[in-house]
Amino acid sequence: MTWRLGRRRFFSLGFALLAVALAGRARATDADEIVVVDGWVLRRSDLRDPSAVRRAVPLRTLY
Amino acid sequence: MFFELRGEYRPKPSYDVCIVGSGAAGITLAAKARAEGLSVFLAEGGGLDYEDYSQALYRGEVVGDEYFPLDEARLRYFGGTTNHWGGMCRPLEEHDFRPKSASPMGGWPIAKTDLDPFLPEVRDVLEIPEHPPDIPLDGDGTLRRVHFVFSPPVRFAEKYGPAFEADGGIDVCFNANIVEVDFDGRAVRRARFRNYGEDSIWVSARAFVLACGGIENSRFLLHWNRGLNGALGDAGGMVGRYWMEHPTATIGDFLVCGDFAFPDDNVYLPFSRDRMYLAPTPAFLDAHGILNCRLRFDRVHHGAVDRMLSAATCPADGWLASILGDADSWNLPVGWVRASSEQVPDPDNRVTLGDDADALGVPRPVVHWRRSALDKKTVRTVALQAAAYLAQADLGRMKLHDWLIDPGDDFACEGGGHCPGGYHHMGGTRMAASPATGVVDRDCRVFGTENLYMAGSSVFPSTGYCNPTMSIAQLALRLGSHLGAALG
Repeated sequence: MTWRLGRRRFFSLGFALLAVALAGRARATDADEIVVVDGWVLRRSDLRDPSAVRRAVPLRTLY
Repeated sequence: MFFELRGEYRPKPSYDVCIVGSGAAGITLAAKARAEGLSVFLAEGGGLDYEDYSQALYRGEVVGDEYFPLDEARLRYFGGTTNHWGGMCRPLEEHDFRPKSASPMGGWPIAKTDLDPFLPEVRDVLEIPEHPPDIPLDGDGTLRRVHFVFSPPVRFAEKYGPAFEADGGIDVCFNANIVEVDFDGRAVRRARFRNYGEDSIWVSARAFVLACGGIENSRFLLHWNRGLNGALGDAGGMVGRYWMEHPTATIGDFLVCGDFAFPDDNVYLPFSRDRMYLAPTPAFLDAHGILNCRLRFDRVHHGAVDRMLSAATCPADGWLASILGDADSWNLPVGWVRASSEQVPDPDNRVTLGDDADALGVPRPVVHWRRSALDKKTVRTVALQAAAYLAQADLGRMKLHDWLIDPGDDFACEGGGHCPGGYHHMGGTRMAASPATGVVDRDCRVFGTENLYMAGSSVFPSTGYCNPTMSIAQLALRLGSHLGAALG
């Protein structure tokens, strides 16, 4: 993929998500639970998609 | 002086030390022995440059997990494997010398303090600076940022060859392949070397040191012990056993915030060398019953940014939205994470002798090597902790590969590159307090002998995660000092 094409994809993705960002940039608290979804190790507050929320596994269960 | 093993060549009647092998261990030891005033015969099986006929003697078989072909994992000419060494240096850590709760066989009979006196000398040998201190990363005391330093890298043959060639106190003999030792029940009196034709010589010395590498040291002891009922350090059946590598794999990707910085360090993630290392603390290892491990974060660029953002769209949509609001988000540091870990000492991971012999009549080696459930658990646990740390501190996020998340024992490679090990051959003639658990004593002397020693990573009873060359050179300097005191 060329840099120009990559940049186009990047900005389309960015605009789609910017609406969410404008609604209020969420910052998690220290107590936010760490979960694993599709290999991503995330804070639970990172998740918006209901499907991702359902698939999230608490990290502590994987040790 | 330089010599070649040919029909007309005759060695001196006797030497103080006969060193077999001219890699990092052999050359460091030879230089140290000369500094101690000892006369040295240094045998190199190859020549001054790479030759196929010499390299072919390194062929062997691997049984178990996929591994590099044995004749591609090392080099057989003057300077040995240092001729393609990458130069990464870090000494073993203090707790690497102690048995870990998960690995009772992993202890050394010496401590880090036994090698520390040789740090200034080894820095001169490797041309490296002092290591910066480790940096604690989290309040829970689970992770540290650790540092490797880089040798230019030193090519040992180029660095020491001219001095050796001009020195009448050291005879470097090329195309001299050891095939036989004359052992009288207490000491090795002489060793026979031959070239690739029919010429051979006997060399007498007060002490003999095998510095042939982490496979060949075991191979020769096994071969010679066949006629000696295990007299050369094999009374406990330990020769060849507990062979180890550093299990290595690409384990995932990372994506961090644009204003990312490590606490107390203020190092922005476009690292000084575009990479950074994290390791667990000793307390974390003991708490989780795992071994030592380091994670290497390599920054990569535009193509990976796009791939990572696409992959994060679904699960991490909330966090992604927040970082995309940053003004400089196009410069997000993104990259992959590689793990290299200590391997549990396992008696079934070993070097044995095959049915086939090489061109000189020595049986070829068979390396039996498998990564265990504990090896997988070590990498998995450290990776999860590092990923949790980045998320908890809101510094970034990691995506771990599926095989690592999987609770099964399979230790797969994914993402390419640097799998499955580090070309680090360790163990096989392990250092121990007694012949029941090892092959050499704390001075690297083979149990049951008065004057046969091992140099190199074959004496490692455990490995830590650090690249072995620096420790190999430290041990060689220590052995040279010991021989100077014993023979000088």
